Amino acid sequence: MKGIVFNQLQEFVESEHGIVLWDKALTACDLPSQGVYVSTMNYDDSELQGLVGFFCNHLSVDAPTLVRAFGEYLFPRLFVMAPDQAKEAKNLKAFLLMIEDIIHVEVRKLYPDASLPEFDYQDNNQDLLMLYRSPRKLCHLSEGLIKGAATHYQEKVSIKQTCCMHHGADHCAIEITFS
Amino acid sequence: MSDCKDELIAALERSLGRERQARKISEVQLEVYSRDIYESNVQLKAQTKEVSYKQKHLAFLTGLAENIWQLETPQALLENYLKECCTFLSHSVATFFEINKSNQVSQLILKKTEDIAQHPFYATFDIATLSHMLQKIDMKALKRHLIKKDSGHYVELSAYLKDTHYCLPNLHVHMQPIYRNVDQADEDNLGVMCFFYQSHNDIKELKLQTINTFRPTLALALQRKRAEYSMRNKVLELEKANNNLTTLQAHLVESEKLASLGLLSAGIAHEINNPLGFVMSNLDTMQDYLTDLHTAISPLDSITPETLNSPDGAYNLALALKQLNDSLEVPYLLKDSQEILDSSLTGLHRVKEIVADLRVFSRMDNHALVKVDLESVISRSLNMVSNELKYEYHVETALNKDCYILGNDGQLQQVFINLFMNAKHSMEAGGKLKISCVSHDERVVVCVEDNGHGIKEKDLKEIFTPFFTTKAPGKGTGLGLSISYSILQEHHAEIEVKSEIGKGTTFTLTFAVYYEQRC
Ligand code: HEM
Repeated sequence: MKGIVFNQLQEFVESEHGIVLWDKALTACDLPSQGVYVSTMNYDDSELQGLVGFFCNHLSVDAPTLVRAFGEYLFPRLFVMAPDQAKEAKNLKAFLLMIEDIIHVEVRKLYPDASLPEFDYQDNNQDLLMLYRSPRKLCHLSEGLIKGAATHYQEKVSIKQTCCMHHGADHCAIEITFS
Repeated sequence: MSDCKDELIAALERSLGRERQARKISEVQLEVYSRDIYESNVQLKAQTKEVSYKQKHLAFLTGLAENIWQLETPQALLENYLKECCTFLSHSVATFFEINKSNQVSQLILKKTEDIAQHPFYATFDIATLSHMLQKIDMKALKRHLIKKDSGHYVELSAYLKDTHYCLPNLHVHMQPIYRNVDQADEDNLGVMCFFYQSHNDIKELKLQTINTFRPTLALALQRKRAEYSMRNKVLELEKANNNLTTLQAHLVESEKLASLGLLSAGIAHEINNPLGFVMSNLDTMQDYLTDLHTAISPLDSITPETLNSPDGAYNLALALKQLNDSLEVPYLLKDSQEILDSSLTGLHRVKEIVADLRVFSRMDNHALVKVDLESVISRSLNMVSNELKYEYHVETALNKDCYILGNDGQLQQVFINLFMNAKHSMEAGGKLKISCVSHDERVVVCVEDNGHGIKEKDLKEIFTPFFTTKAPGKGTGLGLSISYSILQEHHAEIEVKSEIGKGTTFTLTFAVYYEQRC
């Protein structure tokens, strides 16, 4: 996982709960990086898991809820980095369809060692099925990111997973219904 | 409250520490990146250089490859190759030579660029110098060495000196064996590319390697050029042979004519003998008649003026003449003499005609096509074979007048005589020969039909093939019909043969009608 994700998580936590909680989390988790994150560098995925686990405990929320909220917070910050072509997408669906073949491709150009998920699409007009595959199982982050994107495009959507890697499936199916 | 503050301050301190550390790491990272960028830049430059270098080599190779198939002769090909090589190598004299079976140097070629030619050292290095130098080398040993190596490499020429006292110019020599032709006696012909350098610094190893890669292509191109060359020579030879054959064929046509003349000569002799025989006996008779006529007028010899003046004398003379006239049957003699002369004249006319026909037939030189009357050609041909067909054969002719075509009298006569004689041969026990010649629809059609034994289907295809004959050995040349065929082709005539075993054969010849050319 890239440092940028940790930096954003830090901002997310600090903005909601203050710098002390973030510092506490780092002290409590005793991470290999010692909490020193440089956005372009790679850090072990387990650090993210550890931090998320700490916050869930401390704030008494379940991980999916927390990660979703983080995704929502994250989206506008990632969006500014997106390639122009994606920024010019005329609606949410058009944007979502660009993640796999344009946005993350561009990410890979910048960070050849980035750990990115794999998306397949099933476009059924009224709804869009995004099939998520990744060893990091961050489907809830996707959900949050999509929610953030919907807010950006000012579109109302309902998002649910018809199957999930956390329940033993080999992929997650995120269904986005446009109203 | 102060606890809280302390906590915050401590947290901020730690946060600051982390930020600093992060900054340091980023700075180091930045340095790594910028070094990476620098290095990849350097690498890129080197790659660009290599690419442009490779491009140059490639351009050289493609230039060679393009030219190589266009040049006419093996020599031109080699010269072009050497020229390209020495331009490419820029500081070298490029040469080629062949070490032949007897280990002599042949086909020596030398090329240098104009720049090099100005150079004081290379200027004196010409083909004479090179040739002289190579004479000092043990070519047998060098050849053996090159064959063993079979690739481009440096050769220490001094190691191959025949005479160790000879002082070689101080040169660096790179040699590439190009082709090797081994003959049945296992002797080699080795083609060698040889580049001479004055200075070691001028040698560009990679360029030589590039040239070396072209060796197989050059060898192949040379081989093909040589094959093409010898092919062209073979074609020329074939053309010559063909010309010879054409002349030979012309001779054959003539000899076939002579052969048929030979066949006909007995008959012709007979034809001539017949009239000559009776003209001779006629003349014998005429001699006797002449003697009698002399006797009949002999009383006139004793006439004198006195006898004529005396009545008795005149009377006696008249009486004597009368008696002789009666006893010698002078009126009969005179009448018969007239007949004898008439028939002799007829006989001699016949002889004259036969000789004239023969003359046309045997004329050798003139093959020009002129206006000819087929009816008369056929008649004359028939005359010439009339003796052959005298007994047992019935000749039926239906020849239209004025069947003019563009043709050659003598040659056509040869065709017809050949057809008539063939017809005769196919009717061994005699038979009927029908000849017609009609003109219609701008064509003149001649049919020669016999009721002989016919031609077998499998032979029918062959009858126009030279030397094909069904006659017994020594009986026919087997050329007659094939020659007739070529003559008819020259006349643009169509030939059709229909034959049925046991029923007979019909040859149909179709000619175009002759048109008077008007201006
Ligand atoms: C709704 C839109 C998007 C979705 C659903 C999405 C999904 C994800 C997910 C799930 C991950 C976590 C890695 C994993 O699961 O294996 C990820 C990583 C990432 N994404 Fe996206 N993404 C979106 C838009 C963007 C945009 C606009 C950018 C900006 C260029 C971006 C850049 C990245 C980067 C830099 C990472 C981190 C790679 C790493 O840590 O090595 N994504 N994305």
